[in-house]
Amino acid sequence: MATKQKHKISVFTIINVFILSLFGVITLLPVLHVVAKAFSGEGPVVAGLVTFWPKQFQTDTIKYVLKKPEFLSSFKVSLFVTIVGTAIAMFLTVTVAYPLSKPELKGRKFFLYIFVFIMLFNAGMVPNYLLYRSLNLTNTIWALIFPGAFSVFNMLVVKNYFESLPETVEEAARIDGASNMQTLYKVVIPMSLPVLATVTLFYAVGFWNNYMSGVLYITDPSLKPLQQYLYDLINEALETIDATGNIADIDSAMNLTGESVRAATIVVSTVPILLVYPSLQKYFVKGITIGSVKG
Amino acid sequence: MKRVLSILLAIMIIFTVVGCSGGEKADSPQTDTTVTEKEGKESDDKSDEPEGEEDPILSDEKPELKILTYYTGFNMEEQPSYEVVEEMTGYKVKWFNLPQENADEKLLLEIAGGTSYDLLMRMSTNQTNQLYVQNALVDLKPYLDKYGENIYEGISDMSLEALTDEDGMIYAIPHEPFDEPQPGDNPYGVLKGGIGFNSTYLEELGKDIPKNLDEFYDVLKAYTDKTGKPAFTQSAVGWNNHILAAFGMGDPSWYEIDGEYVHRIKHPKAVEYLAFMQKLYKEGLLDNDFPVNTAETAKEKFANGTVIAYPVMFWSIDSIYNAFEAAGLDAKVKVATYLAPDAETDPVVYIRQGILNTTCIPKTAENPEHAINWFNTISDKDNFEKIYLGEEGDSYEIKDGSYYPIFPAFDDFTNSDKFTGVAPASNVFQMWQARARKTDAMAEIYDQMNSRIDEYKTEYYYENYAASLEAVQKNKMALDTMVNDSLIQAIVDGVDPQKAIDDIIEEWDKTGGLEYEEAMKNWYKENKDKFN
Repeated sequence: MATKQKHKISVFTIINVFILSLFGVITLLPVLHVVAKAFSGEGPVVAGLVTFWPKQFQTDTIKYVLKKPEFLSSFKVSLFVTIVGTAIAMFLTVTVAYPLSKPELKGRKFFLYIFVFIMLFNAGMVPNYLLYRSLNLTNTIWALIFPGAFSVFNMLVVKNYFESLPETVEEAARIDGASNMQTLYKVVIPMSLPVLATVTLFYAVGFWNNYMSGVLYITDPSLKPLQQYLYDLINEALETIDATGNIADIDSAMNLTGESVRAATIVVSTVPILLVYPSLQKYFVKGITIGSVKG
Repeated sequence: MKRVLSILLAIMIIFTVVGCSGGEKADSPQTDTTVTEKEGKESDDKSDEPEGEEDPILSDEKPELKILTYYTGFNMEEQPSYEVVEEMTGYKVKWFNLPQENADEKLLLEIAGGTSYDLLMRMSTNQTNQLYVQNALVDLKPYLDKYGENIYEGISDMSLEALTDEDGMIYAIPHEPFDEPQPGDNPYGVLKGGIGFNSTYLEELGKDIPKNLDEFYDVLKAYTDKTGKPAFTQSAVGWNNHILAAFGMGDPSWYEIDGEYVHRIKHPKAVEYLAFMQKLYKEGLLDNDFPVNTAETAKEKFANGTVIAYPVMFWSIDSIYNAFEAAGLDAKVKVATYLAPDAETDPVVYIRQGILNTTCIPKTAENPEHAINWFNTISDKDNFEKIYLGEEGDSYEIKDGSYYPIFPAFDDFTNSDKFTGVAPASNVFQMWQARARKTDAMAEIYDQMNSRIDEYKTEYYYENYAASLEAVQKNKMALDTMVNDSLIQAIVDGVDPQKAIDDIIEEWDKTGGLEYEEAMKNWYKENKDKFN
């Protein structure tokens, strides 16, 4: 019986592994293609000879991108926005979610209604623009941080997790004389690392990938976030040609960025956020294995 | 109880939302009043000004100017020209850029939101027009009369007139392109692209570079017959202007036929053009994948030696030669420029005239006088040359009347055109050509393209002046896309060309084409006399 079951599982596993690997490879190939282009000479790239392995290997394009002042400034902006933004967002999320997770909070329903309402309905781009404009926040780094600094959805995820924690642990802390804040920071948060890691990742990726805030609130090129820089770079060739196929701005057309430099920029700007995943990975695992109430 | 609570909550929220939007509404007239107040102040200031020599704008401390310009792939303040201009004008400038995508919407939002830019530099005619219609622009005439001597000198009457309304308000300063000769100028240099041929393949076929339609077909046919591969590729465009030239057309969209102004889809030769393209496609001479080609994939097929011909511009030549080398091809590019209909008829090149973009001042500007003064300084003839090309012998040189860059000094001038004002020099087109000769390969191919310019008949076209007409803005883009897509479809389907063109025209008439045509025809009738 046991062997039969084992056999069944292995067929399923084989198919499963095969399909998932196939899926993995399919998603990986375009990335490999771009990486190969980034490290190839311009000639093979233009001739379409590069598939998944660099030809005429070089690192000059990567060096060029890393030295380009526009790239560096956008990179710094995005790095700052991601780190500071995520910190602010996590602080707000946790401090809102914790009280809301307590059934004894007065007016809890009322506040929840408000949060759900703003999650479902929002004012839209133009009123938001006018708000930021009248707060004198346009063309400041905060215009890139505040729009993503709180997500009701993430807050609800954290709140639900807090609710699932056993009340007894907190009671024990209180008996030991811990205040509300101490309970939150010394007991609840360490027990909630899995959800916090997940939400941190959501926020960090959200900030890193944010493109709209830059388009909407920023005209100062030194505050342009990396994703907008990348988008512009990739699409700049389209802008030089009008609807009839004629070249509208010849000087811009003449100075278009080469394909391998474009690929290098994509590679360099994707690496930092990729690094976040493995560093948060351990919390996911830990979170599952740690048990807080024993016996 | 719960229900009551939710209803109460809903009502509260509605009130809050209404309250918010009410606040915004209340805001807008306030902004308007500030503008009017400011304007009032300005006019008061002007009347109070003494008529003497000491103009505080010219002598007093210069404020930092905030200038919004179009999308540039670089930060203006990181460019070497930035400091050159700062030193020259004495003004510190904080540059802002519109985004590449949704630039029109963003501009309207910025201006409606009350952001105070001193100058909106190099806006499209469409953008300026929208702001003008919204009454968001300052009349430049008084400022130009006082501080804009060089600007007046640098622009043609026709361009200025196009941006002056019936009441004499000049709402924008036109920028004319540097890369086109003016009527009467030497047209050498006007050919910047064509259909590039692989020289080795041409030699192998024993053919010369084609000059007319028959020769073009002949070369393509010989290549495909010999190799079994398609001979010619391009990206997904319906109109190929270099081939169109053999049918009495070219870059312009509009042509005068028997006194009537006609769009090229209604040109009597449009059917013949389509039939020719269908023939190329059907016989496999034209790459059958061209409707799905991007610019990159089309270039790949030429660069790795699959096809013999592909449309090239002179500035892409270095990357093509790099690719030839990588693909192991020992070849050069020979270019067939706008084709002639047959061996007996001269080929024609159409030269664009018009406004490339425009510079204007929004009503929210804090320093309009200074902005014009700044723009006037960079539009001075000597200053213009210094910003655009630097010093002769240092960053550029003139050999046999042609401008050549000197490297590495010229590297600093790659994007200097974005810092120039209007072009007061008569030889701007010759100066522009220094950019066309940045590398030996570029210089060679550019001069090769223009080597037959004497055989060409030159025609100037002015349709770009009509770009800001409402009916044009409303319909042109959608119609162009529709025509392009339908032409590609017709080339692929191989349907009867006459019927295909008739169908496109029917669709054209139904989807705003008639309105567009009427506007263009009226504009042409009114302005025809001004064209040289």
